Amino acid sequence: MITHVAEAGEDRGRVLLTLGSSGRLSDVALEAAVRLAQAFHSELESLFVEDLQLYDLARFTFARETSRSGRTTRALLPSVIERDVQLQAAALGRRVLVAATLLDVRARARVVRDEPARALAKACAEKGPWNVVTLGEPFGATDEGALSELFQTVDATTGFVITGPKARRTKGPVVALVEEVERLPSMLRAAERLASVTGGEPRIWLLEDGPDRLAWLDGQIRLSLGLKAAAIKLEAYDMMRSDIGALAASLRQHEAGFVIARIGGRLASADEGSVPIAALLEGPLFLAR
Amino acid sequence: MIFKWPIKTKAAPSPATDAETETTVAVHRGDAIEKATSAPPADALVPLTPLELRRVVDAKSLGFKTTADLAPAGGLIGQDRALRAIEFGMSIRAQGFNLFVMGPPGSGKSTAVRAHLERHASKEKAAADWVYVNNFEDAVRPRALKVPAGRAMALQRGISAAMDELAVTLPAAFIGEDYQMRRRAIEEENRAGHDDAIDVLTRKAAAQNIAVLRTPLGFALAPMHEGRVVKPEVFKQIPESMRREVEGRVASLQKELEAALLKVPKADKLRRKLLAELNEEAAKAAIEAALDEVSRDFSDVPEVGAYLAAAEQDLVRSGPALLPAGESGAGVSKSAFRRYLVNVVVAHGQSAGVPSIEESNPTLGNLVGRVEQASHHGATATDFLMIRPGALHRANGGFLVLDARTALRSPEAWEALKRALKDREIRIEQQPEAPGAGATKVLEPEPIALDLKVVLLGDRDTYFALRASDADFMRLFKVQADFDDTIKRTKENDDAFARIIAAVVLKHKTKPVDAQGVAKLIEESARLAEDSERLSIEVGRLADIVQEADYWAGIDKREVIGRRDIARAIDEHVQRGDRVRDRAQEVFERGIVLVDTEGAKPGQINGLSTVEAGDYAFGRPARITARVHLGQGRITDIEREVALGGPLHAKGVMILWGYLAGRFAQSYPLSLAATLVFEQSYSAVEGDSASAAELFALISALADVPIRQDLAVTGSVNQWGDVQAIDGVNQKVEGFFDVCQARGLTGKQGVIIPRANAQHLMLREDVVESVRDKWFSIYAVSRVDEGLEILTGLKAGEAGSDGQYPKDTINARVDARLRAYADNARSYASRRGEATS
Repeated sequence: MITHVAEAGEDRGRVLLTLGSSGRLSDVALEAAVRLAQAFHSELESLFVEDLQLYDLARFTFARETSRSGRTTRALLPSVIERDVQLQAAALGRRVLVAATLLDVRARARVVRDEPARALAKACAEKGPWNVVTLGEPFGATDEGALSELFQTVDATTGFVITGPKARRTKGPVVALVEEVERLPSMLRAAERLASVTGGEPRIWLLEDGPDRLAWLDGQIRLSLGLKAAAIKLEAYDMMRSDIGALAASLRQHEAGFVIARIGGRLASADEGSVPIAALLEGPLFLAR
Repeated sequence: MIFKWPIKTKAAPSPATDAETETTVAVHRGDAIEKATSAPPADALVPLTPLELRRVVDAKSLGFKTTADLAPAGGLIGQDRALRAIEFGMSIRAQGFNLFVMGPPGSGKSTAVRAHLERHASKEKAAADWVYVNNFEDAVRPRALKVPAGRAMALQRGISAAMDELAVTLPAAFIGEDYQMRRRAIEEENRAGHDDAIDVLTRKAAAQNIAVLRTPLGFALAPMHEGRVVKPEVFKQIPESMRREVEGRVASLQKELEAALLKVPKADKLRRKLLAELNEEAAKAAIEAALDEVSRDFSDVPEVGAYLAAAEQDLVRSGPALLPAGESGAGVSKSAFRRYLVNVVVAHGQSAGVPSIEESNPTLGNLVGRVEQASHHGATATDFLMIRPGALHRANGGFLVLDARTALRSPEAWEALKRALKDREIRIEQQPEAPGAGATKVLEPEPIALDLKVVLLGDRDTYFALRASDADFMRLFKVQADFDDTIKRTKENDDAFARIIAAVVLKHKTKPVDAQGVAKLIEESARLAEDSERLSIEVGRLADIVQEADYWAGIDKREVIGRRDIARAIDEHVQRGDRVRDRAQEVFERGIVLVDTEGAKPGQINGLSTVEAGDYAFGRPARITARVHLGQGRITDIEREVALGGPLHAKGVMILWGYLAGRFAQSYPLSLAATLVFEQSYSAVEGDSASAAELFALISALADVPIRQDLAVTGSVNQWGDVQAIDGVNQKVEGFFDVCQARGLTGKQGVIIPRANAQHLMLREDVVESVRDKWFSIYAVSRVDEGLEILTGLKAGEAGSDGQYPKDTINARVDARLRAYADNARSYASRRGEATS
């Protein structure tokens, strides 16, 4: 597992904040991206993708756009969608730059017209491999397909940050959900760095099936931590006796900020792009490869 | 011709008569100078005796050694009428019976008012406290609450403590597991929100190969294949029937989308309502617990109870909104509870009695209170906690004392005071903001019921000016207490006066004053009153003299203040303010201003005037001259012609004409023209106190009889020839005395005063001494003729039944001159008539 994030000036990667034509940008996602860049002394780049599908859609004679309130519906023309999208891109780009400036993070804005996954893959590949992708739009139940595509398409990345509809903070304990002992050092390091800028404290939650296996993992982790074990809060979570909903509830109860998990683990299926816990958390979920 | 006669005096012969037993008066008539000896003068021509010039006090008659032997008096003697008025005004509770206490400064009116206020205020039941609180229904109109006396601070503390408690307990109520679970349940049960509606439709559309895409402003639907929008050119290639079918699906789903989105607000509304109810329930327990103690403490005050209920209701409704967003469990800033705090505007202690307030600077804000504003990021803001009380608030239920002149200085404050008294309520009016200032919320605090008595202190001028110019004044200030500035001089009042001095000694911690010193003070007081029959009760001035005398006694290492210390204090005070008088004196001594103090001249006389120099006035002589000639009947008052003479002075001059016409011109026309002037006078002349002198000068000119220049004259005359009283007789006499003394007293010099002013004489001791030693004389006259005889040495002469005056009298000479003028005028007129015909 890699949780490395390229430092500013390293010229090999950065924090990439994806923005879409819908114009939706979660406040928590934006703050998470800026905090991440701040924690790793990295550069923040917003990538606004003008979804090609929208332009295809606008070329249909029967294309209609219904307003968010549902009160008005109008014909959708290519020229109209182009103008609206460009205005949206400019507005979001400014918002990102302002947020970054407030925390002294170097930032820039970029606009491309492409399919979202492909555009992101290209952007990451340009400066691979140490990119962390933060999804600007709140993660919804119908976004799993898109996420799966991202996991598979975007290689040059060390992780994705996802914020769900309940997300409301980045502050609070940074919880690393550890399932394998060998992942501990990098996850703990990432947790410590994030905690240094969010004002929380790094914590480790161990996930394993059954008390025996959990006890063994706990022992291994403590051995690995050595003297640090006394200073870091460790909690063991038996997944045999619980489920993801209960885990999320516990994390909410502890008012966790960032939660770090691994792609391909029990919380994030790399193939299906299924991350049900993301929709339940009150903080950003950092999925590391 | 020279007229000459000896001046008879009741006392021993004067130094002048030691050398020359007769007074010789040079009478100029053209170039010829004759000497005449007149008949002995009548009683009126006898100078006043030293005893008539200054009413001295026999220290032994006072009956004590020093003021230490006396019981101090309160500073009020002879003011029974004023005191009764004050007592009445303070006792009556009816509307409009406020007081105007008038009198000169130092008359003791403030002391009297304070003493009465102290007594009345302590007898009354304690006045209520007042607080301002937020009006939860209309924050612009803060509410005023009446709280039992002495309990406003307890209410403020109680509410403040409750809010401190809530700052901790309110957030705690929202982080409990119970609350969190119920909240999540509500959210789960009512998830039909925006995103959920879209998710549902997206899935349904996807099942029909229709994509729901988010656009910058909403949503759009398009045919989809393998998860991607079909390109239009590809879509065109499929059969038309299929295309129609797809378009139909898109249209149908579009309608569903619209319907789903329209439902969202209703669902959200229900969710918000349920969450609000949950929040109120969670907050209510904490709020009730926090307010419980203060509610119990004030259960006997319905107004406070109603306020606490309103505050509780508002807290329950808006309490959750006070919590910091996203950080449940964190304490709430105390400033979040500002709108529930209490602003105490009036708090009386537990001590009994009503307030008695003196406001020395009654501006609008200081009187009716004000609403302060705070600047925040360049904009000004205010709220009910920034309401500041005025004197009316502090005095409410009791008494408010104001200086009338100071109160009138601010017309807005005066109008506000009257409005408050008329409406019986205190209405704070926020001052309009300065032009260009940022928009500021204007508060309209609820008026507070007013029940107080206003006592205005002022002088008579102010009182009568208000009566004349302010229609409301008499309706609002129905009680007048009029303090006299002088009291009658009796044995009882002399004794009471001594006790006032004892009180002054006690108050200012000076050495005691011995009987001689008190006697001197009484005499000085009569001098201040300008009346030997009255005493000034200007306590402030007396206290100054005593304190200054205490200083001089200390310098001389005396333990008791004596007569000489008092005298020195008076003299030093005069000398300190004496620069103007010294300069005025100097111009006489150096001959810059021409005033003769010897010899005799026709048509020229020494008049007397007073000069005000701050709190000190002095007299000075002025040469008045008259010239006569044939004319058409007019006296030219040169002062008036050049606009230096005031109306009273002009009136005095016109009376002279009436006198001359009435006395002489009964059988011939008054073909006289005359000019009168104050020589070397370059400032305004007002008053008629020189009219007697002017008449003497005029008659002297008409009769061509010289007037003694060693005498000065003061007094006014009427058309019948009576000499009338004037003001400042002491200063005028002393003014001429000082000039004569500086040139050397001859024993012939003196002053003629109206007989009516003799009772006012309280001359300086050095003047009295000079009179006693025959170096100076004071004559009191009642009629013009008496004055003429003293001034000219000639008999004035009374007209006989034939209208003729005795030969060689002044009036005979005047009559002869006027007849000659009439004849000349007649012949002149006939000559002119012949010439013109």
